[in-house]
Amino acid sequence: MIVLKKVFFPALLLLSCSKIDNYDAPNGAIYGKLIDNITNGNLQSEQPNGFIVKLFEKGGAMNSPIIFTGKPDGSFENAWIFQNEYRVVPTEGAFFPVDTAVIQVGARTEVNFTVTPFLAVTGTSVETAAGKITATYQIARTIAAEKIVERKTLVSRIPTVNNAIFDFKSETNLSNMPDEEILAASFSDEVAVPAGSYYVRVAVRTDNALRRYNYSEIVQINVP
Amino acid sequence: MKTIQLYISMILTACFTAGCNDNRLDIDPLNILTLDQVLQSESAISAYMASLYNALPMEDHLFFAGGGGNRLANNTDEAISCFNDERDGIGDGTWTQWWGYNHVRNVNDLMEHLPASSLGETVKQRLLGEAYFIRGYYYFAMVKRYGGVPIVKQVQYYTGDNLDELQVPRNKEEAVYDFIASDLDSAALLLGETNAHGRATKYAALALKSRAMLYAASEAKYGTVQLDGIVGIPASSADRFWEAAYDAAKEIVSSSHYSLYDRIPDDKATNFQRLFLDEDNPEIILARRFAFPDKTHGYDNWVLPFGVRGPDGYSSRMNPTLECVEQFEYIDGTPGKLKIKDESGAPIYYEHPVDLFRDKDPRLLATVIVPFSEWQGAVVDVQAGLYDQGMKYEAGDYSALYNPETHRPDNENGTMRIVGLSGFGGSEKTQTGFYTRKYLDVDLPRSRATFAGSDQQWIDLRYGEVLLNYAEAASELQRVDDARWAVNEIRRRAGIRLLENLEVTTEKVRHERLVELAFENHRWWDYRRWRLSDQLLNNSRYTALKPYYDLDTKAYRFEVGVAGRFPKTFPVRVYKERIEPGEISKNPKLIQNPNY
Repeated sequence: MIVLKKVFFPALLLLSCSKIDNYDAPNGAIYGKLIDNITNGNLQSEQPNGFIVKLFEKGGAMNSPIIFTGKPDGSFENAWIFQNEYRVVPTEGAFFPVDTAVIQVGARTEVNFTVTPFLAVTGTSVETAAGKITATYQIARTIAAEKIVERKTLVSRIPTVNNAIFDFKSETNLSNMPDEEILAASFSDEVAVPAGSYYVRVAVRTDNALRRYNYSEIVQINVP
Repeated sequence: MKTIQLYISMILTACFTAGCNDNRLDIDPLNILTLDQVLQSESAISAYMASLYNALPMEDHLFFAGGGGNRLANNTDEAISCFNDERDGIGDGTWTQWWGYNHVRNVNDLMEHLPASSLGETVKQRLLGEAYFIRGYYYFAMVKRYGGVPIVKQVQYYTGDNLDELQVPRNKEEAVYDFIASDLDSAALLLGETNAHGRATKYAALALKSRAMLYAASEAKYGTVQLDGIVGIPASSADRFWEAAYDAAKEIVSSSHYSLYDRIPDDKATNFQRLFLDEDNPEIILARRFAFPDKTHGYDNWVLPFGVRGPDGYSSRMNPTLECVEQFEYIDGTPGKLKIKDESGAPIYYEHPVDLFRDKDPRLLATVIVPFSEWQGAVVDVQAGLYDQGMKYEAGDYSALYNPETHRPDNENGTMRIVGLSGFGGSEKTQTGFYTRKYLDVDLPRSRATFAGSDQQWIDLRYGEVLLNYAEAASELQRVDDARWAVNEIRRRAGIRLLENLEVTTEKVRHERLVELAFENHRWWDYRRWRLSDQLLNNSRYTALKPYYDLDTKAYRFEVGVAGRFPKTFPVRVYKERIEPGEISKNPKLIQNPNY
């Protein structure tokens, strides 16, 4: 038994360590952004899980796809993949399905997608007065699909602001208002807040399966 | 010595080489019974069935959502845990996993071998009925979590080259619900009206069917079809599922085999409390019994108020929110808002603080330990602080004292406690002012309120739920008379005003369900199937009821405060849980649910 302990286990350790991992670490990177074809800016999204990017590596038919999430400003990046040919598709965000792109990924490869959002928030302006914030905006879309059901103005003390992270909000149910009227209207939301510095964002939603919101850009303001 | 070793090695070599050439070593193990052997004896079968029943994924006293003794109610607006930390945070669709294909295989195995058994036909028929019930139960537990799952009806055997056919893709969600309905129909046909305690009957199958069909119908009406129907059910199927839920419940109702527990009609609160503890009970359709010390749980250990907790410590893990408490109406049917302030906004003083809850639905006092009510004769003191000469004093510690002579906190010469023993302060006591009473065992000695000291039953299917299933389906089908009758049965037993036809909306039926079935682990699934979770739990904070003793009026006043420290958010993707990635790597034909 002593022999076993003194010789066998150290030997086992040595044996199991004798072969080092001699493969290179992943040295490819893919990055890019989703361009909203209504506002022509980046598709505004949320964090976490505003949208995901799926990568299917060539030669890996049996592998599960590599899935990573995009950033709130509509950009995405994964700098820890092998250099190879990939099929790339952004999906599960507040936009209509896009075609898969076939990309040869090198050391740092850019790939951008133009997407059609479910809705876009346009002409956003945020004004402040003592103790309140007023956001004015319109809602636009190019493809009519599900009913427009909701609009919200979200106010946060921290730079992250979305449907789940906010300190103050104003929300209005639009289910009973016809879409044509919504698209023609100009909305104005008032949110009462104490004095301070805030990040403001407008969110609108159609009755899509994943209940995704389309967002305006984040506006930083100071309330006197 | 050398020779002996040589002989031994020669003999061993001979043994091994010879043994490999024939089947002499292929003997059945002596300490394991094969299924065929089990099927020849009724007592062996009972033992086998016990393992299948034990695997029924009931959300009983032993069920936790996520780690750390977290109750499922803490993931809704019903309650928060005393910590109010990330354990209350809904999780990410991985907290209530149940992917039970090993159990499905066992029950399929039984069904396959049962015809060859030498048992009598009636026994075989009953066992087959139970097997159908159990399989339906297993599949329902999976479909309500994941949506469509692979339907596997036969035992799968690996022959060396048939991996492809063993990897079954997900069926459509609608097909899985239809499969469950047909299993439960078969069970109802084969099973009798009674069975041994804890085992399925015809009515257990029908009760489970009414629940499952209600879930399917809500999915069709309020959910969305995704992944070509692997998750979601077309809206056009909603009505046939409401009908199925209605019919299954109606069959139980019209059999008159069960009735609502009403043994103590003069004391409605005690009656409702005893309903859950009384094992001999006309309302139970299927219950899981526990028995100390063989099969136990620790419900009391986790849930008791801090001041009367058991020797293992813990306690206070499920604090009802003020929102939940106010959902209970008054006896006369008026909304349940507590009378804390008068019309001018000034506080109302109560000499006896329990009077705040006078004339509330008796079920409230049986479901919730309200401030200063009793537990086993001891007052559960949740005082949050004192008022003296208009000043408010609070403390984080039970040992903090107040001196009414000098009118200031004074730990040395003080004569009054500032906070109650079970009261506010610290992360081991109630965060809301309330504790849960439902299911707590009133007869359990405090010394046994330990991790494995409790043995009160878990009622999985009860007649009260069947009536509410019936009412909900009827209401969705615009059969207002039926819905009103069923809701009023519940309200009559509860001891509150009955409803008129015009009042019986789907919303009212749902409200009755939330109140009657509070802390029975229904609400998480109900909000989910009504697709309300993401609206109700959207960065949401809940409130606490804080009692203060006023030295000037010598009475209590109440304030509403924010409960706990963290908001709750239900991520939309959690409407369908994540399939364990390990399962997908074993079977690449499984498609992951959206957003994972």
